[in-house]
Amino acid sequence: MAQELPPPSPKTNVTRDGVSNEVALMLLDPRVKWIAVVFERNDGAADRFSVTPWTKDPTGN
Amino acid sequence: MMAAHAVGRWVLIAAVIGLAGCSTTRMSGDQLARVAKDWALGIRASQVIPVYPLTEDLQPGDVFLVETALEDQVKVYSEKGFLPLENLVVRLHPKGYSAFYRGWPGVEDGKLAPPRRWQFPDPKGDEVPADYSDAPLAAFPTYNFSVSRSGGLSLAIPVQSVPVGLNLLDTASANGTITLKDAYTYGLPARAIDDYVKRWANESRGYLEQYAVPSPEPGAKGPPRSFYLRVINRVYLVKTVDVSLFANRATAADASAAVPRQIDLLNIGGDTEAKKRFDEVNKVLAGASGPKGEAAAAESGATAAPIAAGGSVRVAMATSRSVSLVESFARPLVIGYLATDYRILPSGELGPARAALTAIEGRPQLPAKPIPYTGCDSNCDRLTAWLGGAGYKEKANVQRLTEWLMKQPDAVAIADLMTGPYPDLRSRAVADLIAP
Repeated sequence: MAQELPPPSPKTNVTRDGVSNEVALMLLDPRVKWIAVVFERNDGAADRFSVTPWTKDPTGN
Repeated sequence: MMAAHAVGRWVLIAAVIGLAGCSTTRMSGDQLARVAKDWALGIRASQVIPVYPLTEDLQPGDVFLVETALEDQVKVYSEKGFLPLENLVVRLHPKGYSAFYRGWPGVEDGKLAPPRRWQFPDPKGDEVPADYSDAPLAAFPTYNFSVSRSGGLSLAIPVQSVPVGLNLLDTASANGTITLKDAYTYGLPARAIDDYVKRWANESRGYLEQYAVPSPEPGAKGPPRSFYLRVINRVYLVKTVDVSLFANRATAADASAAVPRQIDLLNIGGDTEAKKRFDEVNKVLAGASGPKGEAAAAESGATAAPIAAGGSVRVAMATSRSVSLVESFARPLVIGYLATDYRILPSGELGPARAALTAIEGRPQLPAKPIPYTGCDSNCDRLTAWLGGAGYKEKANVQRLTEWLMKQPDAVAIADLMTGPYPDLRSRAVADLIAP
C-alpha cells in the first residue's frame, strides 16, 4: 500500500480539447502548484500539447 | 618617560583584555540568531550546507536522524540559515577512499582513512602538528558582513576575531570581510556510502521502526511527517580565517581623556612604535585563552574574564578606522558539508537517496517520465461522471478514489489513471467503486 500517491506524470500528445480536462485532473492533487502547457506540434489535423505538472516552483523562486 | 611608557603599556593590556572580554550575556537572542544566519548564508552561497558551530568532529559516514518534516526543515533552514545536527545516530566507517582517491598520496582506507593521517600525522601517536598539505584543496569566496554590538558582542559568529576586532576599533558597528584561507575538502561518492547505509539499516530495522511514520489518515491536513537519515558524504574544512573590519563610527567612550583610543595605539601612520604595540596586543590575545590570560587580566585589574579563544588570533594590520586579524585554528574545522537524505518508510526500510541540499532548498524535482495521453475511454467517462462531471465536484468520491488507488500495488495519480495508458486499472476502479 502506497503511503501517498505519486504526483501526476507529464502528459504528451494532449489534444487542444483535452488540455482543460487534463489540467483539472492534475489539480485534483493538492501538491500540484504549477502546470506548464506547451505546444508540441500540429499532426496535420490538430494541435498537440504537452502538459507538465510541478509540485515545486520550476523557476526555483 | 619610561614610567609613562610602562603605564601606557598596562592601559593598553587592560583595555584589550577588558574589552575583548566584554559580557555577551546582554546580547538579544534575535541578534545572535541574525549573526549566525549571516554567517550561514555566506557559506550557503557556496552550495555547501553550513555547520554551526564549527566542529572538527564531523566526517563522511556520520548519520544523523532528522526529525522534522521536509517542509519544516525548509522553514528552519530559511529562518536560521543552518540545520542543527543534533541526533547523531551512528558513525559508519565506509571504505573506498583509496579507490576514490587513486594515486593521491597518503590516502588509504582503514584506521588512517581521511582525515586521521592529516589530523595526526604520526601513526605512533606522538604529538605532531596537523599536516593537511596533502589534503584536497578548496577555496571559498570572501564574505561581507555587517555587525553591531548595540546589544552586546557578536559572539554568535563562529570566529572570535570579529568581536576582538570590534573592540580594537572601539566602534559600535562595522562592516567587514571574512576570508576563509587554507580550506580543504574530502569525501566519498554517495554511491559508495549507500551500500554501508543500507547494510546498517537492515541490521538496525528494529531501531528504525521507531521512526517509521504510518501512512497519513485520508483527509489529514498538512504535509505528511516523515523521518530522514542524513548521511554526510563530503565535508569542507578551514584552518585560517582572515577578518577585516571597517568601523562605521566610533563610540562615545572615545571622549575619555585617560584612555587613548585603542586604534590610535596601533596606527602605523601615527606612531613609530607601532610594531611594539602590535606585538603587545598579539601577546595579550595569545594569552587570552589560558591561565596566563587570566593572570594578566587579574594583574591589570580587569573585572571581566578574557575571551575563551578557540584558535589563536593575531592582529595583522590596523589603521585609524580598520583592523585586520588572522585567526588560526589548532587543526582545520569543518564549516560545511554535503549529505544525502534517506526517508524512513513505514516498514522501517529506507527510501531512495536524495541530495539533502536539493531537498532543503526546495529546488524543483524533475517531473516523472512523460506518459502518452490516451484520451478518455468508456471507463474514464463513467469515472468522470461518478466524480461529478468535468469539474470533478464530488469531493467525497475523489477522496474514495484516492484511497482506493493508494491500496493498489500499481498506484498512480488520478490524472494518470483517467487519461493515461492504464485501461486495466480504470476497469478495476469502475468494478470496485461504481459497479461493485
